[in-house]
Amino acid sequence: MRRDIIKPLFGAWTFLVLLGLYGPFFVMATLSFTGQHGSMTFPLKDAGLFWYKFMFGMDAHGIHDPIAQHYVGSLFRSLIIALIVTFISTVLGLTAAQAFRNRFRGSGVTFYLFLMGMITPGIAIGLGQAFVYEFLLGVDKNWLTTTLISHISWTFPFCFLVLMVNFNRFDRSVEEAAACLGASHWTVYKTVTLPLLVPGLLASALFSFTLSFDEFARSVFVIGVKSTIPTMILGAQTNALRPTIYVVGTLTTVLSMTVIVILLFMIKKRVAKTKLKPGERLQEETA
Amino acid sequence: MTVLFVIVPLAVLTLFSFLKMEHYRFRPEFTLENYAGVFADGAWVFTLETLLKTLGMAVLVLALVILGAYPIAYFLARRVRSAVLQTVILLICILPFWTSYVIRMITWVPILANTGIVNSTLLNMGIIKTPITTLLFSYKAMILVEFFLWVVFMIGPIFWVIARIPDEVMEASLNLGASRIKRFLTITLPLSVPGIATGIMFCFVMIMSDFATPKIIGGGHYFMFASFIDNSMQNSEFALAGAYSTIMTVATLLLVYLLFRTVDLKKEL
Repeated sequence: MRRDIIKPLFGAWTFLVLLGLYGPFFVMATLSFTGQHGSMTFPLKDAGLFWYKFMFGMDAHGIHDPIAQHYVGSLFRSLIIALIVTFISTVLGLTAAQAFRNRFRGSGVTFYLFLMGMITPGIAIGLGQAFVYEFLLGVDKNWLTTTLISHISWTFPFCFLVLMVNFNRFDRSVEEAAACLGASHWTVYKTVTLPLLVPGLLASALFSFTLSFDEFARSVFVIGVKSTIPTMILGAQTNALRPTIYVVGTLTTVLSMTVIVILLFMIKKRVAKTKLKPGERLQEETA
Repeated sequence: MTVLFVIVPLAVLTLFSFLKMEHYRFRPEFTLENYAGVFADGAWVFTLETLLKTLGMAVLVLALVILGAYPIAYFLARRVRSAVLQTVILLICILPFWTSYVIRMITWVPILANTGIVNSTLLNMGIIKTPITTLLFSYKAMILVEFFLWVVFMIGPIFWVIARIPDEVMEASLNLGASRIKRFLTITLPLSVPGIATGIMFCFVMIMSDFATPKIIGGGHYFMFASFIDNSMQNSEFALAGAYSTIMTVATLLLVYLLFRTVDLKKEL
């Protein structure tokens, strides 16, 4: 009897929350197609691609919007940073997680030290880094150097955790068997260890790419002259309001979603290959 | 690595917050001046009030997020039996985690604004005659938006721990005569504490550090602790920003430390 009430009730609640999570995005996406004289709200006036064209500098119509003209550049910069961050923090995460396969002296403290970047408020880390550059080293702030570093300090703990989870679920006897059968250290690593780590590596890429692409709190003080897309959007939101902000929001969200879905699909394929139990697979993906 | 990029900046931040500032440059001279700006001459009332207000909001949002996320995680882990369906719904639930929180926040503006969807719908239906101006730029709006911002951080960790409870344990408790409510209170809930704690940790750090939501959804009327840092930086008062950041970091790390004492994250992995 009880089961009959709880299931539809919880199901309905799940649906309601999902509506709140996704509804606003669809509203924004719809509004991004408003016409040149359309407002920031409904109803749409002569719907079309006007603001998309405007953002890419194809159809200016004499509208002067200094911010919109920089969106494309910021988007491009964010993408480059995200790709480099993905590579660096995954490699760093792998080395760190590798070290944690065996207990070593001070491993407990080191574990929490590694997590510091995740559990300290981002704004404090960003400000601290800004202080180091400004007052200690005297280096200029730049998107490709200082901002990149601030992103790595944020994504690294996630990569480390994801890969550590992967190592913990890992059957060591497979490696030992390979070694017993005469494979060298490097061959074992290349043919046994790494392939088993692929789901973890992909998940690590997923976290580092998306977290870097959307990073705001740490970037804001170390950004320099040229912005990344999240800092640009917030700057614009406090200045002039134009539908271009919805265009950027829609484009970046669609881009993130595409990357996420592709990576999740790759992880799933990979995990299916190594045949874990369904419960374990879910843990890999949600970690 | 972390030492270089995280610990050193935090140490520098703390150290510099005790240094004297002149002409926008720090001088190597110990002072409590910056903290005086935070605490002295009755400023402490506002500081303390804001800190408490921020913590209060964090607690309210966290409570709502836990209440909101728990049924979803429970429903997915225990009541959806098909593994494929489970994976799909879970992924839909936590997909927003990987998209930008800045954008997820801004998308609420066209819904709650004076000429937004809610107001124009209500106007068209004739339920109200003038737009409700307090939909956006209000405390309620901030809580609503923050709930949807952070709820995705909670569903995943709770699901993870509930899904790991073996079916045998659940059945055994019923076989031994426990009621469903008793089973939930004595088995499911205690076993989901690590998940809830992990979620709290994530959400709390995000809420503390967030000055964008008070600015955009709160319209600047609701000053949160992180707003201090943003404001002092905009006025180039670096030393003051440093002092505020140090206080915030200490407060946050203290709470995270307490959380880590109740749950050993390393063992959970």
